[in-house]
Amino acid sequence: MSRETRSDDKDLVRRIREGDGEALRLVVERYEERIFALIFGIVRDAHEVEDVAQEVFLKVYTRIEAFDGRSQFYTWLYRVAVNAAKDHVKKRVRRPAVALDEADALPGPGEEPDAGATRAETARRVREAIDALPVRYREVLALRELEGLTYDEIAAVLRISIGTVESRLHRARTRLKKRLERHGAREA
Amino acid sequence: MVDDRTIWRRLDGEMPDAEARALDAAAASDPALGRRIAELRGISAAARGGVPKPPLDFAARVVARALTGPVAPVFALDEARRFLRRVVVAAAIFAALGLAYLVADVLPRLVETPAYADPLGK
Repeated sequence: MSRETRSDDKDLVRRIREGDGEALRLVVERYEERIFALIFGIVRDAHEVEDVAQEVFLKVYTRIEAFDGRSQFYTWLYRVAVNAAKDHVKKRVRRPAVALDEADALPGPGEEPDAGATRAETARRVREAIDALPVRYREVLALRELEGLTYDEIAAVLRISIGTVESRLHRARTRLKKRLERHGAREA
Repeated sequence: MVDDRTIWRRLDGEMPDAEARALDAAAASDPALGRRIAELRGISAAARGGVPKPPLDFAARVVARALTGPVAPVFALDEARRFLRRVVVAAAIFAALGLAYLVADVLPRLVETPAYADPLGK
């Protein structure tokens, strides 16, 4: 997160506190893709992401007073998104997870169709393995893989220690790897 | 033998430069290590797939809801639930205190034999 973005965020937060809808629009446009990705990483159902994302940004607008300015705005925003996604997972009636995976099945530029299919198959398996992870692993994985946050930043968002971040990430990935190996062994 | 945790630290950019250079050099001369790194990198890349994009009018719809739409019901419901929970907890505490008072103070007095209870004065 650049220094410019951070100072812009401060200004936008001040304007949102004054009830400025245009400032909210700018915040949504700045963060919508990242918030969609983060929520998807936890909720794991593409069809449910938009509703949760709306709830997150509306919460930003109605609860901006809860942001005390001690952390970066994006840290607070990500925390709001993680909590909303976790609440959603707790409340919902479980449905099979759905991802937008059509693009995965397409071969990349200059790639053989078979290579595209293999990549899509790996992507599908990884996705299924992530769906099976407990939420506490999915949240660190989403913040790392989808948001590209450092361990330090993840720790700040989730209010856990860096050591816990590292060990949860390691456990999550070990589970993914084992599950993929099991699938591979079954098919070999 | 380099463990997976070390490789993940390298892939996550959490490794000091000197250590990262040493691992890269080891991977360049050890095909098995190179394959393991590629495998973990593949898992990492696959974990980033399937993410939906926001619709083009998403921001406009959020702003419309925030300024005019039914924002309140969503959060009012949360607030109402929280308020109700507090009321229930407070009521339970009062009930428990009342019960304790009854048991400790009122009941013993009720079961005491009043002076007029024995008409024969025994």
